[in-house]
Amino acid sequence: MMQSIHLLENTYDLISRSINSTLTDLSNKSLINLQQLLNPLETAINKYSLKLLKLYSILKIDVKKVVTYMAQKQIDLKAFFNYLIDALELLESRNIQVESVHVNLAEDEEDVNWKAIDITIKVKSEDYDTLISLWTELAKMKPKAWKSVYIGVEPL
Amino acid sequence: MSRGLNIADDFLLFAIEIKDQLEARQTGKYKVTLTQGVLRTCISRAYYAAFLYARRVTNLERYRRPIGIKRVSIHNTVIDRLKEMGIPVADMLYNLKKARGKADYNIYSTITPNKVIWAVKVAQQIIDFLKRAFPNKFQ
Repeated sequence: MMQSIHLLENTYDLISRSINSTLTDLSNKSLINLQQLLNPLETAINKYSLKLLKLYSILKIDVKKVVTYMAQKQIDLKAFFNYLIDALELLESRNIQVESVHVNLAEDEEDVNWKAIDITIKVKSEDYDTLISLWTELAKMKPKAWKSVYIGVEPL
Repeated sequence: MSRGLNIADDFLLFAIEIKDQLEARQTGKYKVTLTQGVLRTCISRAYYAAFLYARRVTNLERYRRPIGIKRVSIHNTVIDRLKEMGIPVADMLYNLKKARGKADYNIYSTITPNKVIWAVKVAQQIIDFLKRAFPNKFQ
């Protein structure tokens, strides 16, 4: 439930920003063209809501543990979801089919104080060289402050 | 061969030979029987090859567990240090460590040839990256 609420908040924020920007733009014009007003709004709603829906449909997350740990580490949940969306977009832009996105709190029995957020993106592809190159890009895209967030790409 | 890392190179060579045999399956060029034990050993050696290179880069070869702290893993320490250094293959080493854990401990799953080929390629990528980024560490 918590993840749904955050995703909706995220969508709401993105759409609100788009509306504000359109209204600001509109206030600078003397003539109002209704289509000009509607087009960017429609694009924004489709773009962001579809992306979030896509992520939501393939996301498998241990919500309670992950969200609690992220709060401790001051990792912004919206930034985190935006990163996941960017990751999906990057993979899909190279025609890599994403099967699922798993987000867990990783713990180690042999190292009791060690914890990390573990993102694993499972993909349908046997083009391993491309996957490794994309994985490197995904690792670099991650905010540097997220020291305890690890991303993995795993072919099925 | 990098000084002091001949064992890591041996591990990687073993893993690459198994990977090459898996990739050549259609031509039937097998030299060993590719049992689950061999496939799992291959993933494990691929991880340790990459780990030993990373341990060199992070200056943790002489690491000793702090006195009074019983449960600290050198493996996590190396990965975290790579991360602190801003080295992107830290994520790959972490995931390879996970794959090695599954290969060695999760005996109720089946390790597929593709998982082995993937793990060896990831290990090769980590080692190639570290060699390129830190040539002075491997002279």
